This record gives sequence, C-alpha cells and structure tokens, in this order.
Amino acid sequence: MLEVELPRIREERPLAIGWRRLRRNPVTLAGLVIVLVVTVLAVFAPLVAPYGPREGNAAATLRSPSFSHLFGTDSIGFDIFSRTIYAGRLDLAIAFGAVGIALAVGCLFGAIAGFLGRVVDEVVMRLMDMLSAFPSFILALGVVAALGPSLVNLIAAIALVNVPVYARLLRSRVLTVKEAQYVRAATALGLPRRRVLLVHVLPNSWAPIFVQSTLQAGYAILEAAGLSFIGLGIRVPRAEWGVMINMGLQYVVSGQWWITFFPGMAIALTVMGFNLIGDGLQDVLDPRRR
Amino acid sequence: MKLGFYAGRRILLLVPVLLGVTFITFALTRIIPGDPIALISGPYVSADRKAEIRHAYHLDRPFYVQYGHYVDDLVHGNLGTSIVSGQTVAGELSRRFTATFELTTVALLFSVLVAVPLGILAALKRNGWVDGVSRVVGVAGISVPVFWSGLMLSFLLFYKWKVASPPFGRIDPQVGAPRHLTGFYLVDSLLTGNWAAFRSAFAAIWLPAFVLGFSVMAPIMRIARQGMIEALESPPTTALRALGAKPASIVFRHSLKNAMLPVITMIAIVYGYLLGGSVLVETIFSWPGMGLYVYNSIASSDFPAVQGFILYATTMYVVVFLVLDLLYLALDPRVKY
Repeated sequence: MLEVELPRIREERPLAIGWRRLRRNPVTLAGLVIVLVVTVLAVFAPLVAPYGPREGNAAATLRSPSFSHLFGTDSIGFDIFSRTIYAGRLDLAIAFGAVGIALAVGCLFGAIAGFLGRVVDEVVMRLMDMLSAFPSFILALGVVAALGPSLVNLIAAIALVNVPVYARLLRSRVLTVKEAQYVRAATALGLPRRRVLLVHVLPNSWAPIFVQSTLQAGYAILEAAGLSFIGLGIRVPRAEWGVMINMGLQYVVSGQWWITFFPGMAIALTVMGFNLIGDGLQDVLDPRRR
Repeated sequence: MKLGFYAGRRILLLVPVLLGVTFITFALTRIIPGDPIALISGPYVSADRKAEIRHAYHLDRPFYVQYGHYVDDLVHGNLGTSIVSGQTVAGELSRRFTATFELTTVALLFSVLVAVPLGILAALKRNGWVDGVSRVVGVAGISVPVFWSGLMLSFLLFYKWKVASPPFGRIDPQVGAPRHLTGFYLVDSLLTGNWAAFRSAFAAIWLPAFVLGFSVMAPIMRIARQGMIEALESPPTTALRALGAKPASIVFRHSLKNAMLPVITMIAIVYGYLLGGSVLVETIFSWPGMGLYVYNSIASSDFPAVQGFILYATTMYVVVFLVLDLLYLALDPRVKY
C-alpha cells in the first residue's frame, strides 16, 4: 500500500504573518518605527520633556542649543526641545482626527454612491468633483479663514478636502466588488445592503484605504502646519510645529536658526514616516511597482 | 477638426464645474460666524445705516437670490472689494497674477527637468542605485514643508554664505523691472535684451522655484518611471528588440513619447499643489504674487480678498488642467473622441 505523507500545513496566527511580511519590507518598517516613536514621545510628553510646553524662562531667551536646553530656547524663553515633543500631540491629533473624519464621511458617500447608483451616484460624485476642483490647501485655507482659526475648524477643513479621495476610492471598490460572486450570492440570499457593505465590501477594501490614509495623514500634517504658519489654525504661542516655525521667523535673519530648525525637522521626519509606510505598502499591493 | 469639436465640448463642461466652485466660495461667506453687516460696516454704525447696507449687499434677500447676484458680479469680472485697501479684488489679483504664474511655471519646469530624466534612468536600471537615490529624494521632497525649507535655505545661502540673492521680491529694486510686455520678468528682460534685469530676475527666482519644485518632484518621477517601464515592456518594444533595434533608439525614439503622456496628466494634478505651496513660498520670499497678497489679507481679516483669491486661484488651476488635458489628447493617437 502506498503511503503518502501529506505536507503539514503550518498554522500561523495573523499577527505572525503580518510581522513576516513587514520584515521583508524595510521601507514600511522604517516608516512605522518613525511614526511609532513620534507617537510615543507625544503621548508621554510630560515624562520625556524636561520643561512644560509654555514654561517660559525670562532669564534664558534666545539661547543656542546646550545641555540644559537641547534645542535652545526661543524669544520668550520657552524650551524648544520640550515644545517640539509636546507639539507632536496637536499635530498627530489633527492628522488622525482629520483623516479619520474624512475616511468615515468619504467612505459613507462612496458606498452610497456606488450602491444606489443612478441619480444619487451622479449627485454625490459631481459634488465630490466640485470639492476636488480646488487646490486642496487653498480650499482648506478658505474654510479656516471663514470659520476662524481654531483646532476644531482646522481639523474640519482638512477633513473636508480629503473627503473626495475616500469617496472615489470606496465607490470604485463597491462597483468592482458588487459584481463579485460572493457579493451577488450575499445579495441573492436577501442580506440587507448595509450588511453586504459592512461584512463583504469594506473588509475587501481595507488595504487601499489604509495605504491612502497613511499618505493623507502625512499631507494633513503639512497642511495643518502650513495653515498655522500663516496664522490660520493653531494660534501663537501654543506648541504646534507650524506655529513654532512662525515664532522663529523673524529670528532666522539674526542667526537664531534653532527656533525654526527643530520643529521643521520634526514635521519632515513625521511626514516622511507616514509616506514611507504608504509607499512601502503600495509596492506590496501594486504588482506594477515591483 | 474632431479635436476642435472635443475641445469645445470640454470648455463648455467647464461651466458646471466653475458654477460648483462659485457655489462653494459663496457658501464660505455664509459660514462666517457673526453678523456679516458688522463685519462690513464696523461696530459704530446706526441701525438705519445697517439696514441700508443689508439692502445694498442683498443680505435681506433669500440666499439663492444672493447667490444669483454673486454669480452675476463674477460674470462681470467683479470679485468684490477689499475691506482694507478699498481696491477691487480682481484688480489686485490680476496685478499679481504674473508673479505667481512665473514662479509656479519655473518651479514646474525645474521639477520636470530633474524628475523626468531621473524617473527614466530609474526605469532603465530598476532597483539600481539611481532608482534608490531618486526614491529617497522624492520622499524627502514630499515630506519637507516648503515654508521651512525655504527659510532654512535662505538662511544658509543668503545670510550665512552670501551666495543667493536676498529673499525679498522678484528683482533687485536698483536694477528695476524690465519693460512690461508679458509681465514675466524672465521673458520680458530677454525680449528687450535687458541682461542686467534678466540676471537679477533669475537670481531672485531660482531659490523659491527650487523649493517649490522640489516638493512635487516625487509624483512626476514616479509616473515617469512607471510609464517608461510599461513602455519598455509593451509588445511593440519587444518586437523592436527582436528586430535588432538599438537600445538607445528603443528608449528615445519609440518609448519616450508613450512614457511621457501620463507625465502630462500628473503635471496637471501637481499644479494644484504648486498653487497651494506658492502661498507659503511667496510669504517666505516676499514674492509679490497672489500668495503674498492672500497672506497679508488673512493677517488683516480681509475676507473678500481671501475669497476672491480662492476663486481666482481655483479658476487658474481648472484652466491649466484643461489645457494640459487637451494637450494630452492632441498628443495621444490612441484616444478616440
């Protein structure tokens, strides 16, 4: 009698699979590490930062970097190192908040447009076209200029300009997946649309949505810092990277470069972290990019 | 002929898009918190005068009537009046348009001239060192905030090493602007043979244009690389190779054109980013364009000016997009319309 030894199928837990794939993708890993470090520093800012975000020392203004003030101090005597760390809280909150809201609202619009089709699809997508006819930074600028500078308005404005991205993405996913066998089967079984969407369509659209979100989060930080820099958004003297650059603006001329240099580096590094995650994942997902 | 017909249709299709855009810029005035009359008239005005203003601005009518008046004004080239200067916003913006257009165009040229060759080289030697370097440069470009890189570069190159012109404006005031022909200093100075002006204008523009152009290099590079890879792997190219065509001829004579078509579309997309970035870069370099104007208007709470700028810049973007789209159609023999 012939005996065939079947190869044992190793069962791996999803986390282990994820880790194995991640290891083969150093670009994403690097990005992930950067974003994680920045996030941890921001969350535990009170433990890491030697000074408070608004703890001015009138006796030590405009000091260049030293051991007592790693990144130097600004014109009020604020410690740049501490503020750069604290600022991560606001900037990450804006990025996650704006992208999260845009994702929820945009995906809802996209799903409705894709599922209902016809007039609804036409109306929703034309609305999205109108929004994306604007250069996104300029539309966000207009919204904050109208609503007035504040954290909430800044998040709302950046969320608004990101909505069309997600609406288009999910709509095209819905249109593709709608025709797939398993979705037609689910519909034929009489499952309500909401359930088909949540159970069958959304889980299958996760990957592109996630990749898009990392890239959008990076751009959201640039937009938030840019708007705060020109006085729309977070106001002086709160600890936010764009505000900090603005506060150092007039001192660059007289040689106090550190006031602007470090917060800018923080922006560049954080945004790069998000971009690396998205870029690396895109390579994995898109066979054309290998 | 057929292209002309198609172009006409595309231009007509601009009307609903621009109407949508005006609806949103109109809606922006409605979300301003507080009484719009107080904003226009200031706090020390009698109730009668306020009612007059309310009537003059059609604020006593329903919103669709207000919107109608707004569009009617726009059609007649009226973008409103600046609260601060009392000048028409359309006039103020038109005067600054060429400065912004020149800056964004030079930035775009720089970006394309660097990114496209890099993308092509990266495609020819995939995963080689050029591919790696261009990728790093690209990620750096989209990650660095333009207002910061502009500041830091002018600190190093002007204040420290004295190799760049001062970051103040388009031209050395002692040289003076060239005679006005097109409004583009580089072009005007060349046409009039005014070398001193050309040198000064170039010295002023290269750094801000570099900063702005650097921020959009990554997408152009990526699309050039991908386009070239696809062109090189297409069946016609395989056939050419089988027929013994030289590699250089394959790349330059046959693949380049196909690879460049998607680059045109990408340029249209990144132009919006350039316009947005120009607000920040113009602020840093005191560049007397629309971006610096809107920065100053924000500082003085001049909302009609901000609103006018948004509409003006968006229209500019939509038009550039259309022109590039038509260029694409004219160049691509595959598209049937």
